[in-house]
Amino acid sequence: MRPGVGRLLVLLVGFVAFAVILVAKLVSVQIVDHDYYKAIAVGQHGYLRPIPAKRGTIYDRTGRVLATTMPAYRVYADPSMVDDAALAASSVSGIAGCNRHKLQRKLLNKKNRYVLIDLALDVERALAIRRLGLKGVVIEPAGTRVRPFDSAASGVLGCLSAYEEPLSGIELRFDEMLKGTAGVRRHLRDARGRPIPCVEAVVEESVAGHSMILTLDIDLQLTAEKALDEAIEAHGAKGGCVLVVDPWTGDILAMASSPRNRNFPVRVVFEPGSAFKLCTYATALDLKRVDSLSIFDTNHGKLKVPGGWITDDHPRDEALPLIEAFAISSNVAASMVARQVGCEDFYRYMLAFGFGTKTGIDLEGESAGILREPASWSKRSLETLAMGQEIGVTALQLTMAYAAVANGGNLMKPRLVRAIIDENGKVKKKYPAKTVRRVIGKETTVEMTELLESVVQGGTGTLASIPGIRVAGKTGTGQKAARGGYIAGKHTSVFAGFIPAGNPRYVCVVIIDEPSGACHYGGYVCGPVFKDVLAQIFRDDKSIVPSVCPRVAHCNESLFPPVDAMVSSAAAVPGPGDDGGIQIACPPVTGLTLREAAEVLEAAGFAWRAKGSGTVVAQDPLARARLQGRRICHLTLGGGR
Amino acid sequence: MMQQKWLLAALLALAGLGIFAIYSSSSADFGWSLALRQVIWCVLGIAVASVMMRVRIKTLSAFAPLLYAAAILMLIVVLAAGRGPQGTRRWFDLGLFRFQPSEVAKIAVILMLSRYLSDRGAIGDSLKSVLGVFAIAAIPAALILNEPDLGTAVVVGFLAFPLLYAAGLDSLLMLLLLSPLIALICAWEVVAWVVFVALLVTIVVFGRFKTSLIALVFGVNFLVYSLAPRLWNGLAPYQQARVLAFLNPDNYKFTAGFQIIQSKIAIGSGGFSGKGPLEGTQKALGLVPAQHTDFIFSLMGEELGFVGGAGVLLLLLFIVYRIYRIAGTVRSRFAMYFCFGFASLILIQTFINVGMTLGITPVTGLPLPFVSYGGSQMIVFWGGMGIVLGSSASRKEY
Repeated sequence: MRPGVGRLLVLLVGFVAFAVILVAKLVSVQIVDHDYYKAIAVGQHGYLRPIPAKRGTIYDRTGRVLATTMPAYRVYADPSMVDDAALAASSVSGIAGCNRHKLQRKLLNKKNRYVLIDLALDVERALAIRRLGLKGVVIEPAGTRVRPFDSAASGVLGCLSAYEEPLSGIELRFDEMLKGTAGVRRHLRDARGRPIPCVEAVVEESVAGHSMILTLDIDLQLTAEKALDEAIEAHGAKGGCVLVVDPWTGDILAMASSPRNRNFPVRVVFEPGSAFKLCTYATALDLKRVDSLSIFDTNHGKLKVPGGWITDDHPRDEALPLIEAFAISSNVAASMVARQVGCEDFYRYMLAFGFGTKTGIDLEGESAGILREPASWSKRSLETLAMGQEIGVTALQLTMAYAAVANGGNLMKPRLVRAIIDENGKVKKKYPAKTVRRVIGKETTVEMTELLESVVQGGTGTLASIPGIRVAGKTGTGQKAARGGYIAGKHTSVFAGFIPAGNPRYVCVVIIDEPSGACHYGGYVCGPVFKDVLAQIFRDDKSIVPSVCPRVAHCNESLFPPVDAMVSSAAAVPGPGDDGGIQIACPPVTGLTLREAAEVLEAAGFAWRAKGSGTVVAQDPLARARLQGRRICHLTLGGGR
Repeated sequence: MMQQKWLLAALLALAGLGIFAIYSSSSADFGWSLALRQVIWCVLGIAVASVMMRVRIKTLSAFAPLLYAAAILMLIVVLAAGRGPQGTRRWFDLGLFRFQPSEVAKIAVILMLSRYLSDRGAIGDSLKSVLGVFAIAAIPAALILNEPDLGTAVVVGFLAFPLLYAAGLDSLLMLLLLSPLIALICAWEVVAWVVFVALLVTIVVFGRFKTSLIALVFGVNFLVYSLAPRLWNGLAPYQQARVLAFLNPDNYKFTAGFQIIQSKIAIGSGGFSGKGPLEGTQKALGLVPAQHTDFIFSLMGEELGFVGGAGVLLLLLFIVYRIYRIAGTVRSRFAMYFCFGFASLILIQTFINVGMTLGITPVTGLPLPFVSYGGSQMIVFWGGMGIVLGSSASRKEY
């Protein structure tokens, strides 16, 4: 008797059912749910701790370190694992330099699982703590951000939290580039989930972050910050900024801001006042609505506009030629120039100069400023705008507009980052200079440069003149507006310009917010700051060729050869002639050597006489005194070199 | 013999995989020693198999009752004299190795049942024969249950069913006989119990059974129903925990369910192609207990992946299939019953063992045939294979 066919079939079915159940389950566990189980398995191998990646370094344009990460260790304790809190507290506090009693109290609170002892302890002290071999005290690499120049450019660089998380500035904007990729270290656990000591495995090495080369020049930055701070203190001002930009590339060379972390130049919107006349005049010249021969009858500095009058601060009785109208910053003339242009064209040029739009600089919180469309202008908006009111600009916008005049008519995109490099210095990404658009023609910029130079030569900006170099600039004093009108006594003082006028290399804009002194004019408050900063650049940057304003050089003044010169000047002595009655300010030469003083004075069209030896300690006439006719400067030298 | 070269190749492959898996799982703690021992067991097993091959079927049949009696005796002795951890009495410690009588009992029961059934004709619905079969299986099963070793006891007891089926027991009667086992599961839920009783009644209506049998079946089932809570209470706490953990492993993930969950994680994390030989991470961390013995399949699943796991399963199923084929061709009824019973033993044990590593059967201490570490199981299973091969070689004799 053996099993029948039906019986074997049933048997086969049962057999196959067993096989199918097992294989199906195997498929479900190993193939369908593989990822799920794999994740659990990986989790069981231990807890993964990140290996912090070295954050990239930030360099200035000359390769000096602005911010870098130094190795450091985070030290913390798990009170529930600390055996002897008193011992741990006394030995750790001795090394880490923290309050022993506080630490002991924290360590005694066994409910707490995390007591931070130090966020960034240096290697030696961290190792010393590790050598103590205390249970429950954990030391792990963290790194600490170091800024060799302290708070310099801190607004641009941005801040980091105590845990090295970027909060603002370049650190935040380029965090992806800087931070690198954290590695993973695995601490194994045993079957009960307890960490197995000393069994660590690097799952993934960390990848250091890229480094960045900024366009900033830290020397210039420091100069600008110092000058700004002094000016703000001297004028009891609320804040301000100094921007230095390379007009040809749009490179931000210095961006000083007060308060330091606020990035005033990109955030604060103010009325530029007369500094905006650059735009008014450039528009008119570019459209050929006015030319250098245009003459404006300013009607004793008064112009009727709908709803009121526009007045001049320095009214003149005679008709003003274009250059003088600009130099003395006549509001009436500016309004008349704007009337020649018309609303639509003016608006078009303002937009072209970049007003009312963000520049796109790599900093957060940039403001676009305020520029209304002509449709919403009032009947007097054209005239008001011409003198820099009814418009809100940022210092950066204003700087880029001046840079456009300086570089022959191109609006550049401000550049803060030149390149991103990897650990080995290999360039990963370049940020080429970008031209946003052509704003005005070359001839217009030449004419505008002449106008700007006249401001410094004999207009409202004489305090910004720098001996030995052609300075182009414009003053401005904006009134601060609030809801419903202007606030009496609150101003924004502005000076904007560039050097050298013939071949511009540096554009500089100085803004002082709410100077509290009696005089709040841009020329008075900001001019000297502008001068200080650019004179320093002039001294440092040997590639700038000293130059003289052609209008001064052309005047054939008579110069007396040095009589009792202790150092014979090799400089060519201009021939005698008529100086045409133009006043020239005597350049300041105190603090210079005789040779330097002689060069400066001769370049400015002065003769000189000297007595004593050493550096110039006194000059007669004093700096900035205006001389007509025979110009001779007596120098007294003294002191050691 | 040579006709069964594929069967032999499958057996050797399986043994080889087993030795590899034992080495992989134990080398960290024991080096080569456990793997080498398994090699020795394997060689010994093959030696026993070649001896058993040469034993005539008639001799085996004649000695079956004696062997059965010896096995019962050993089970009694081990209960009296055996010493194991936590009061268990499962093996004799013979110094060199530990001898497990319950493994021998498996073969002895199959031999005895084969003898008992081959002495009778078709059993049809002979209640007396059925009871005889059950008695032969139940005595050693009850002894093993006392060791305690629930898994082996169930397997030994369960051997009665495939052999009864092979002996031509009526299919519906077969279902009735199996019904107390199903009753044990359904007893916990009123709805399930109602459905179960309805099905039972349907079977009774369709099959024309003797009234006494019907009465007996219903009596046993209701007895199971009423005694179920007591049976449950009769289980050792660890056995209860295992059952509960099997039903809901996540609730016991750090206790009884730990093994199940860890085993599934090991197998699941192996994926399709595995982590590579000796590369098991779960193994390395010692997360799966008993990985060289009962849970060896989880190591294979982790290191060799689905390919290796399914391969092992297919090898085992191929072996089972070939033995069933042999059962269908041998002339001796005794040999036929033996092959049938032995194949069923491998199948059940494979299913329960692999099933437990995958969480579809409760955790029991059953080894994976030919693979798990252990001298008793290797020698017993290889010995059984020897009888199968011997009967396949002798089929032409009659």
